[in-house]
Amino acid sequence: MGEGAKLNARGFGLAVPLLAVSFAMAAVNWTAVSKLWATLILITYGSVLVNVGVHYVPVGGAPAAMATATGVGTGTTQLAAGSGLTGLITAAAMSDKPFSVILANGAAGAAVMMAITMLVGNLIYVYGVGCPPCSAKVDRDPLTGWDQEPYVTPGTEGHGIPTVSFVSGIFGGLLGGTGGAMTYFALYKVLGMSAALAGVLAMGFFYANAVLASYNIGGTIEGYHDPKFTRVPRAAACSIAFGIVASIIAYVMSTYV
Amino acid sequence: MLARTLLLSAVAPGGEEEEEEVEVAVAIPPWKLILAGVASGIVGISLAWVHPVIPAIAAIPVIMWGADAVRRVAGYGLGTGVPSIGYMGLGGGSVAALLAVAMTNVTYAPIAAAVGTVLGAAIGALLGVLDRRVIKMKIPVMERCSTEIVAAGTLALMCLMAAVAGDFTWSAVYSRVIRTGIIAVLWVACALSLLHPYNACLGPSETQERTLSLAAECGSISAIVAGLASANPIVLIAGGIAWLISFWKFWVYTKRDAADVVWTGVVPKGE
Repeated sequence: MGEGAKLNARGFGLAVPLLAVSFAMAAVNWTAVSKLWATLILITYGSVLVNVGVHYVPVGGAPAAMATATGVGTGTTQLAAGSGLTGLITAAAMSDKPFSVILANGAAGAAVMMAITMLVGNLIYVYGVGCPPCSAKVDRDPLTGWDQEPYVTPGTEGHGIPTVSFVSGIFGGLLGGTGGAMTYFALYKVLGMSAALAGVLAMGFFYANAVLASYNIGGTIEGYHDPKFTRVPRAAACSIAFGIVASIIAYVMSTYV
Repeated sequence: MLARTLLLSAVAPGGEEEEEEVEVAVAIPPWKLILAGVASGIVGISLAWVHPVIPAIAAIPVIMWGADAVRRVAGYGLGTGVPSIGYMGLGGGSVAALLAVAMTNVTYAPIAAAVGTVLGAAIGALLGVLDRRVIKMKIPVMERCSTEIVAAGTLALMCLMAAVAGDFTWSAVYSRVIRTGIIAVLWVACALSLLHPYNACLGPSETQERTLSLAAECGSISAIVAGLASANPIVLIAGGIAWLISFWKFWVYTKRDAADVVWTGVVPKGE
């Protein structure tokens, strides 16, 4: 098993089961379960999805803005917020449909937003800056097997968004969007809040989780092939702790409103 | 001193050693800002029923407190840029602020505001502990500053919500702020007011006075936004006056801190 296959197994092996479990959860009739338990499970799992999803997004930060590092040239919070909030809006547009449709719509919205951001970013890197998308963290692209090293400008960590980062970013969008939609569903359907209140609260939870994840990766990450990706368990632990507190706050709030 | 810390954190080996807490010279000690922020915030929210201009102006000291906390923690270098901590402050803060508004159904506005601030501080402490102990960020003041930032974000958001709604009750805030979507504007105004001052001023010559005068200016712009959102001319004018004063102060401090202020002249024609 080559290095690339191992990296792919790590990336896909984490994202696909998480997504599968979240869609399997759509089969449960959550409004019939005890409200506290339903909120606790949905918001905590949603937090984990958001937090892990941020690790998949290729964030380059300031170095990428100068095309000296791989990824989209902006901060984690902005990138996660851009895709996550799009996911929330697309999920909220399907408010009265079944749970699985809300989840799928949230995931699709965030993933499409992420894909557009990366595509336009790549257009600028390739045709504007004039550098080929490549990564200095791996010798070969784990997905396509293409050589990376000859294309990396000396002194930089790569530039643009190579195939593996692009696919990783789509996974990030799917995970983040699903997480946001799940939180929204818990607040809107299970706790019976109004759409506006549920949206704002879900946004608050989303931001807190996205910032925790961005501190965990120290500002920049290229995707699931990045060595920093191994820090995921810490972020998951954080999101579980925050998710439990957040769901209790949401439950208490629903008793006042 | 600050520049040295920044440099050290950038080149320090990624070991497990803890970074030392550094004393930075300040004109106004943090406890005074905390006291002023909490007092003016809670009094402002309590008196929202008198006139919305009171909470709108009361938000300014709260935002100065939050910006000072951002300044203290971001001086260590967060690794993700200053904006992340401002968004975290409002991410946790919006949750606490909404719970506080919902609590006005069962209790009085001042008590709800105080409970909301304490809850915001608790969420901030939780996030700070997670950042420091689980994620292992090497910032010694993380817990304390994260507590202060989320509490300040909560209080500032509550002040602006009360200013737009004209009263700090669930029915008023829900119908005029949350259902209309104005809360999203206030949310971003608060987050930017917290993060922008240090983000704009940071560097070797950064001074607390200049950063705080910029924070006061951002707070005034938030008050203007609240005035625009509620179409209240008095809030708008009060915010405008506060903006003029604070911007003038910022201008004075900028000139004082600058090495030299020179007129660049007109670009010469030809060679």
